[in-house]
Amino acid sequence: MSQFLLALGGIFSNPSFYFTVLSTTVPILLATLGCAIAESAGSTNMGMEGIMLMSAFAGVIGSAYTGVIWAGLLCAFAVGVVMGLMVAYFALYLKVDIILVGIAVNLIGSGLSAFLMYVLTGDRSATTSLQSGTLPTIVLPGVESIPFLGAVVSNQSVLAWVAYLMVPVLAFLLNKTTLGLRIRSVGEQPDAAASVGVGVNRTKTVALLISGLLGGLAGAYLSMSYLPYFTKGMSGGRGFTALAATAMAHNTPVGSLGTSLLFGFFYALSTYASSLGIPDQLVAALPYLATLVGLVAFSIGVQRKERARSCGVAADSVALP
Amino acid sequence: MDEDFLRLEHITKVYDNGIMANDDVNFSARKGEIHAICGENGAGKSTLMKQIYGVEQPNEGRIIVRGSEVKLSSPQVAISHGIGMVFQHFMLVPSLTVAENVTLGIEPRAGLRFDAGRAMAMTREVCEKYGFDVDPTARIKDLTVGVKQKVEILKALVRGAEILILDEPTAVLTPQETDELFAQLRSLRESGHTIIFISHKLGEVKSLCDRLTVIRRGHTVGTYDVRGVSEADISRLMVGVDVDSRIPKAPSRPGEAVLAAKSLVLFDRDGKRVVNDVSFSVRAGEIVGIAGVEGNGQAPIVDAITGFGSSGSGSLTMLGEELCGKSVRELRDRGLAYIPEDRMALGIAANLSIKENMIADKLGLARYNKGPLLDAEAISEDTNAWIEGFSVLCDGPEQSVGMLSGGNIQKVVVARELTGKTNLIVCDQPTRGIDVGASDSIRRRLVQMRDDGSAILLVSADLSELLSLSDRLLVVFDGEVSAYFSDAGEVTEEELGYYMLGVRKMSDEEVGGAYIV
Repeated sequence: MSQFLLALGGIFSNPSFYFTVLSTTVPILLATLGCAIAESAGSTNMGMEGIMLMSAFAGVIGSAYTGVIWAGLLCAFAVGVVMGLMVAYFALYLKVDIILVGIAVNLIGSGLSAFLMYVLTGDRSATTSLQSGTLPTIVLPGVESIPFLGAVVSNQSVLAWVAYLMVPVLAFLLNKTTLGLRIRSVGEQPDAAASVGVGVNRTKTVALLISGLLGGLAGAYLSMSYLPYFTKGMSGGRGFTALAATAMAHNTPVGSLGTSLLFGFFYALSTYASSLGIPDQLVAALPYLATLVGLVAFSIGVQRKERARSCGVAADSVALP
Repeated sequence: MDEDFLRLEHITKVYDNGIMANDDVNFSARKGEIHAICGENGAGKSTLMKQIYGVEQPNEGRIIVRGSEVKLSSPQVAISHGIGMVFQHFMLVPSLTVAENVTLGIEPRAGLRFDAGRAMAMTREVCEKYGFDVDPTARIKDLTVGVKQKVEILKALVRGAEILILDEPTAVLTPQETDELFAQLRSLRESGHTIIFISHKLGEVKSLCDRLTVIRRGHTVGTYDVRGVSEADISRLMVGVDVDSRIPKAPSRPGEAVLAAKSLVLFDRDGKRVVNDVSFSVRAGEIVGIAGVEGNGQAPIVDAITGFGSSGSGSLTMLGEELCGKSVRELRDRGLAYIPEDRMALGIAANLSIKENMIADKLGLARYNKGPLLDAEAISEDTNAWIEGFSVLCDGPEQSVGMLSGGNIQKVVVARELTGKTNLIVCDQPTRGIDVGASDSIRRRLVQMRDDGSAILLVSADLSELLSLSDRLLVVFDGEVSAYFSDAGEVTEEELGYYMLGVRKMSDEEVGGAYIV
C-alpha cells in the first residue's frame, strides 16, 4: 500500500505527468466542445466518435499523399464538416432519429476508416508505412526555462493551443453573438424561435457543422500529434466520453473545459499504469469508470433539482388564499 | 377614423379532414378599437385568428389590411403587415432574458456580436412608451404568468404591430393581473392600436371592448356595438337555437350514490385555484351532466375522478371509498370507465389494432389468460362480438385504429370502456367532432347503460346533447357550480347560456341540491 502511494506521489510530482494530462485532454476537449454546441441547439451529436475516426484517417492520408502536413489538417477539417452536415441532413431534413444517425455514423466511421486503410496502404492495424508526419509543437522561449511550468506547457502541439483557445471562442459564440442566441433558443424552445422567424433547421445545421469541424480537429490531433500515424479504432471511446463530459458541463464551454480536464486526468493516469503496480486492464478502465461515476453524479444532481422545483410548486398552491 | 384597418371578406376555411371551420365569415376592425370575438368552443374563432396571423390560409375569401388585399402566408408576413398575436400558450424561451426574448429574430447586432445593450434599450423603450412595468434583464423562467404575457405583447409591439390579437388572455390571469392587462390594452387603444380580444367572458367584453362580433358554428352572426347589447343578448346570440335531436328515454330510477364530491377544491400545476368548493353526486342509474364553457373547471374535475392526479382538498368518493391517491388500475378495478375528451392521446394507441385497443383494459382478467399466455381465441371471440355490437366500420379486428374515421375510433373507445366494469362512466365530450350517425348510436348506448344501472357523469360542450341525455344538470362557471337543475328536461339552452357565461348565478342553497347521498 505504501509502495503504491509512493509511486502515485512520484507521478504527481513529475511535470511530465501534467504535460500528459494537458495533451490527453486535447481530443476530449475538442470533442466535448463539439458535442456541447450541437447539444445547445437541441441536437445530440452521437456520431462524434465516428467523425473523429474518419477525420483522423483523412488527416494522415492527406498529409502522406501531398507531403504537406497542413493539407492533411485541411482534409481532417473537411471530413469533419461533411460528416457534421451529413448528420444534419439525415436527422433534420430526412427526419431520421438523430441518435440512430449518430450510431450509423459511428459504425460507418470505424468500418470505413479500417477498410480504406487496407485498400490504400495494405495495412490492417496502423498506417505506420506512410510518412504522414506530425503537426509542429510550440516551444515557448521564456517559459521553457521556468522550472516545472516550462516542462508542462512548452512543447505542446499547435492543435493543443487551438483547442484551449476554442473554449473562450465558443463561450463568446454561444453567449455573445446573435448566432449563439439563436442556437440556444432553438435548443430550448424551437416553437418560440420558429414563431419569430428563426429558421430552426438552419440554425441546427450550423451548430452541427461547427460540431463536425471540432470533431475534425479532435481527429487530426489523434493521428497527427498524439501519435504520428492512424491506428484502427484509435478514438478509443473519446467521442462517448465527450457526450458524458458535455452533459456534466450543462453544454457550457467553460464547464466543458473542466469536465474534459477531469477525464483527461484519468486518461493520463492510465498511461502511467505500469509504474503503479496495479493491473493495466484495471487502470485502462479508469477513464470509463470515471465517465460512469460522472454521469451518475450528474443525473442525481438533476433529479434533486427537479424534486426541489416540484415541491416549490406544491408549497405555492397551499399558500394561495 | 372610421376606415377599416383590417377587413375579412367571405372567408371560408375547410380543414384537410373535411371539417368546415369558417363558412363565409365577414369581419372588420377599425383603427383604435378593442374588438371582441365571441363564440362557443369550436365556433371557429381560433381558426379565424390563425388566418389573420398567417398560421392558416383561407380556402376562399379576401383579407384586406389598410385598404389593400394581402396574402398572409406565414406569421412573418403577418408581422410585416403590422399584425401580432399573443397565444394562450406562450412562445418564450425560459432561460433567456426578457430583452433577448423580445428581440429574438430581429436581434440588434454590433458586428458578429449580439448587441445586448441595444436589445435592453429597445425593450426599455417600448416598455416606457406603453407603460409596461417589466425588467428587461429578468429571465423568463423567474416571471409570473401575467408578466410573461406582457413580454409576449412587448414582442409584438417591438416589431411594430398595430393590430394585436389576444386569444383568451385572461384565462390564465388572476383578477389583479386582469385589471392591469385591461388598463394596458386601453392605453394601447389610446395610442391608435387595434386590439382583437377573443373571450368567453361576457363581463370582460362589456367592460373592455368597443364592438363585438359573434361567431356561431363557423358563421358570423353579426357585429354589434357593445353599448347596445346586454350580456343576456350576447349569450343568446352565441348559443343560438339548435335543431332538436332528442334521444328517447324513460324517467331515471336512481339508486345509491356512486360518485360523491363534497366541497371539492382543486389547483392546477401553477397553483391556481381552478375548482372551488364544488359538491355533487352521481347515483346509479342516472346521467348527471356538467355544462359550462371550456376551462371553467370541468377538466380538473374529470382528471381528479379518473386518477390523472391533481392537488386540492375536499372529498371525492366512489362507493364510499376516497379516490385521491388511488392508481388508475385501482380505480378501474372499482368499476370506473372513462371516455376521454382527447381520444387520439388518451383514448387509443393509434398504431395498435382494434382488437388490441379493445382488450387493453382487460388483459388481467382470467377469461383472457391461459397460464402465462394470452388466450387469443377468447380475445378474438369477444372483440369480434364488440365490433359487431358497436357497429365499428372496419376491415377487421387486426386493422390499426389510427386508420379509422373519427366516429369509428370513438366507437372503439366506447366499446372498450362500456364492456368492462361500469359502476361509474365518466364521459368527456363523448361525441365531439364525429358524425351524426355515430353520435346517435353512442348516445343511445349511454342511455342504455344508465337503464342497466351505471352511474354516468357527462361533460359536454354540446348543449343539445347535455339536455337530451342528462337527468340532472350542473352548470360550472369560473370553477364553481353556478346552477343546478334537478330535471334537465325543463331547461332551455338559452337559460343554460346565462349561467354558463356568468350572467346569472344561483344561490348556494339552490346549488347544494346537486349533492344527494
